[in-house]
Amino acid sequence: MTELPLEAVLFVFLLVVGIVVGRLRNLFGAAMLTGIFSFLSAGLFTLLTAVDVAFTEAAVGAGISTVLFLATLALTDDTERESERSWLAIGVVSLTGLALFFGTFDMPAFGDPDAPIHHGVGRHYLMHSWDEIGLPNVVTSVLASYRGYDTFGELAVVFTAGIGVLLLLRSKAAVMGAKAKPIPVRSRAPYVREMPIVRAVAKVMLPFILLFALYVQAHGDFGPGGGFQAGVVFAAAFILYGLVWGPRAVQGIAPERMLEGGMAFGVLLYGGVGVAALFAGGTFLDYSAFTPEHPSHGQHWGIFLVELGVGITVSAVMVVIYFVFTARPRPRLPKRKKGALAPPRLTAVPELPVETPKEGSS
Amino acid sequence: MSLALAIVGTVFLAGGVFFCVVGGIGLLRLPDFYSRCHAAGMTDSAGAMGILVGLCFFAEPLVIVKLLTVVGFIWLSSVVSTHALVKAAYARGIKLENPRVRDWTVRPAKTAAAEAAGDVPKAAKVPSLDLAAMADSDADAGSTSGGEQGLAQSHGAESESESESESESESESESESESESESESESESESDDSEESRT
Amino acid sequence: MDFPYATEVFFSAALGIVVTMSLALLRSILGPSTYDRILALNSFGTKTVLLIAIAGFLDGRPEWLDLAIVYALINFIGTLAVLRFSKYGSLAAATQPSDDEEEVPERPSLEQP
Repeated sequence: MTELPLEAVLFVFLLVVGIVVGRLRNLFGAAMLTGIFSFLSAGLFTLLTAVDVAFTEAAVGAGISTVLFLATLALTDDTERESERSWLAIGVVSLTGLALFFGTFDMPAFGDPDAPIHHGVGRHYLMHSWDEIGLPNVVTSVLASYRGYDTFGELAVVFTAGIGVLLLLRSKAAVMGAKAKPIPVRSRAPYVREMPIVRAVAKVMLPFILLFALYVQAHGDFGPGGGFQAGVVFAAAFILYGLVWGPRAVQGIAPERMLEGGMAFGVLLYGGVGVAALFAGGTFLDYSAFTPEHPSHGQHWGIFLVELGVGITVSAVMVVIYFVFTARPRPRLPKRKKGALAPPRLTAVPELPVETPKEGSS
Repeated sequence: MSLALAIVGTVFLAGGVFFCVVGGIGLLRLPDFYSRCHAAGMTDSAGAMGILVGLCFFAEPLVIVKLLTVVGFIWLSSVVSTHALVKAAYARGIKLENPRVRDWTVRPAKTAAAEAAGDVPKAAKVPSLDLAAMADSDADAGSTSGGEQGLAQSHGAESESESESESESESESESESESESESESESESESDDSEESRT
Repeated sequence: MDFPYATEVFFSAALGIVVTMSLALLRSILGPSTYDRILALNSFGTKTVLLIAIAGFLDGRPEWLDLAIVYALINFIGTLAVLRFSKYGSLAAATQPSDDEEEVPERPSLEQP
């Protein structure tokens, strides 16, 4: 009721940002606006009381997606090329848009109690999840138990994405497992020396981020949160460490072999819980079979393990993607004509005189 | 009692919203990037604190702890991100718009000329000359124009060393201070070598 | 809530934040430089934290503050990435050799003549 005008305003903002992102040629700026899009979505989800979704959007949008966008821009070009206007494409897109818009007239009004969504299984979940599963957060019950198959499939998708990135983008120059030993402090000097304030604050924040990730992981049963969000926040801590101290410092802590193992282990843990339920006499992913005398205990254990699997896989995949993107050397770009209107590349700054020649003095 | 708390909280909220909106207006209206940073920083610190502390007066103890945590982390992280951002922007040569403000990290032409004549040890000269070449200096433009000349000259008339040290302390921008980079040059180049050899 | 006008207070605070959001959004659209966009993004992030915090109180569910904590904790990672990217054109290495000679000027020589 009262927040409806706020939602409307945020929707208008979303529309504006979308149009601007589409029209912007500078991809660096577009990446920033995408960040704003993510913030707006998170705010909207919160206002619509979809807090778990908002949490996911928050974790991904704040910590990961900007970094990955920039990592991609570092590998490609940061200016979009002019492309010819294709009237056929515009026609198809407008037709589809019109059709979708027309389709919305058949949708139930917002908050309509007669909407189909309120009469299917959703009603059952809402009414019986406390007795059957016993978690205060119904979203977690639905996600990890009632709809455990779907979540397992999603986890497999995340895992596959990680594998795909590894297969496609890992370069020979960046075989990381071979150099997994921690780099000596001396060669970290360029990183460490460069940003003392950032370094100090990152040191302060890192333990809190990790701790908060564990809190989100464990607290997903009771409030917004869960394995996916926790995994992303956990990975964000590693990425922060990599941004401040360099990716190779992270490889000292989390060698690639370990991360690859983690990717697989999470999925295996999830599937293993399902198979264990089979052995205990239930159906696949039916956690109640663990403790037949007290089904909700088994549900608790099952959900805990399953969420743990999700968290491990998600964080490992995120860190691996970050590694692969940053470790890949930049490809040689086609040379741009001098005086072309493209903005200067962001590398064009003679920064710290890092390669200071040895001087006779001092 | 509770009513009084609520009123205090409302006052805090109103103050926070005021700072937020003023900061937003500043973000939109101020002339150059750095002053916009100032406006945004005010929103982040005063506005966020006002609103979150205001909410504390309506909340239970655990929620108060969470709110104060958020305040603390916002203070830490947004300040650092603004710092990082300004450094990045300065490194890219984003300019000051206000002609009355002089960029102290860029040396006026006069001083540079004096250095070229050999008044100052040459080792100290080079990095700051790089700066001047890198960022288009407003100060250079200003010192040639009439009104700014007096200012630039008066500072130039002070001892070189002072303007030197000031320029360093003003911003620990790209390169470190000369003396430091000199003393560290040995170890640094070594570490660079080791890094390259490893890759 | 004992205070009779609590909802109105929260709502108007949220409204003020949305107004500020619109200002930051305008700045991010106008540019002119990319850094203005980043600044607007940062500012927008803080506004989102505040909006989420207030939304929790509006709905009487203050445990949503966990979301605000997430943003407060990891929001600056993106800006650090921007810093690193704009300094080296890459998120990887401080001393990464660039293979694009045309666009990267020579490092200034520090050798004495």
